[in-house]
Amino acid sequence: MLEAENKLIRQAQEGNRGSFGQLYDHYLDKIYRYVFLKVGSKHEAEDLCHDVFFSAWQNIGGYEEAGHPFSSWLYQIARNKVIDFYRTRRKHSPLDDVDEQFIKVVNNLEARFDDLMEFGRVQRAMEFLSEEQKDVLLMRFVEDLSHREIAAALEKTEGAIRLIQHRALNSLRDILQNKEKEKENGG
Amino acid sequence: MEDKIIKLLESLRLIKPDEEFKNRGRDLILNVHGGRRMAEVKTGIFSSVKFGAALALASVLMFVFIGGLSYFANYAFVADGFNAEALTAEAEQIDLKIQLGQARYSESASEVAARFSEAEKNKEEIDNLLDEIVL
Repeated sequence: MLEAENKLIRQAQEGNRGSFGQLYDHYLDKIYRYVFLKVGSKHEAEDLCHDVFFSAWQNIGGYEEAGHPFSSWLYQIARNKVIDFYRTRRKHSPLDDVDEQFIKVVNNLEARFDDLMEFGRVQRAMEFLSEEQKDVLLMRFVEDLSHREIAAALEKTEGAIRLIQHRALNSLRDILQNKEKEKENGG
Repeated sequence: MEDKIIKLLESLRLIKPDEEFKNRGRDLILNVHGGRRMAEVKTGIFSSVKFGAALALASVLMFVFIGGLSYFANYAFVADGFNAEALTAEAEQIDLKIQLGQARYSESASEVAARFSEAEKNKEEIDNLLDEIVL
């Protein structure tokens, strides 16, 4: 959480552009990463991110903390934008037919990966998970959100989020193990 | 396996947007779009339009309701007056028809009586003739 975030939010609610600019700078990377991993395209991720922050700026007056962190509110907007994106433009997630731009971005991270192929396998395996399970894994392990923040963003209880995370990891492990077995058996 | 998956997912934290997009996006949102103040103005206009539309709709409904009430009230008054007159007229017409019917009946009855009386006369004539024949 950004230091003096509540103060920045209050100022932004009063129309202070600089304060919202600071919130934007702090959260853009996280929201961009989440959206990018959901849509798998740099250009779509940029457009959607722009929509998310524009919508946040327009509606920040309606944001009330009330136990929900600001980050959760932003992820909630981002998630809704992604859902709208798939509802109106595409029927299926593009991650299964790996976007060229996605490969480029991931290739730039190659030096950090022990095995890029391993990443491809996990990415394909994640396609078998529900959107909710994917959301929880991305928010928890990529975005490093707490269970409380994820629960607020997905409008669920913390217990439910822990359960979804547990099941998602188990499913992912089973899928990858089955794929390995198929590979060993020459399937 | 689970640790490997988590480690792999964590490594995706390195994904970042372009600096150019970041700066351009901030400027667009805060300046080009007019920012929150414009949003507030838009929201204000929109909400006042909504309020105005609601007020106008409520006025129209009130007008229709009150107009409808007064129309029905007037219509009921006229209808009452009209009904009384109409009923009287109708009643008079019924009487007239009955009188005419009675007149017709009376006329036909007198005809019948005349015929009967003629028949009676004829009967007497026939009786006389029969008496003559027999006698």
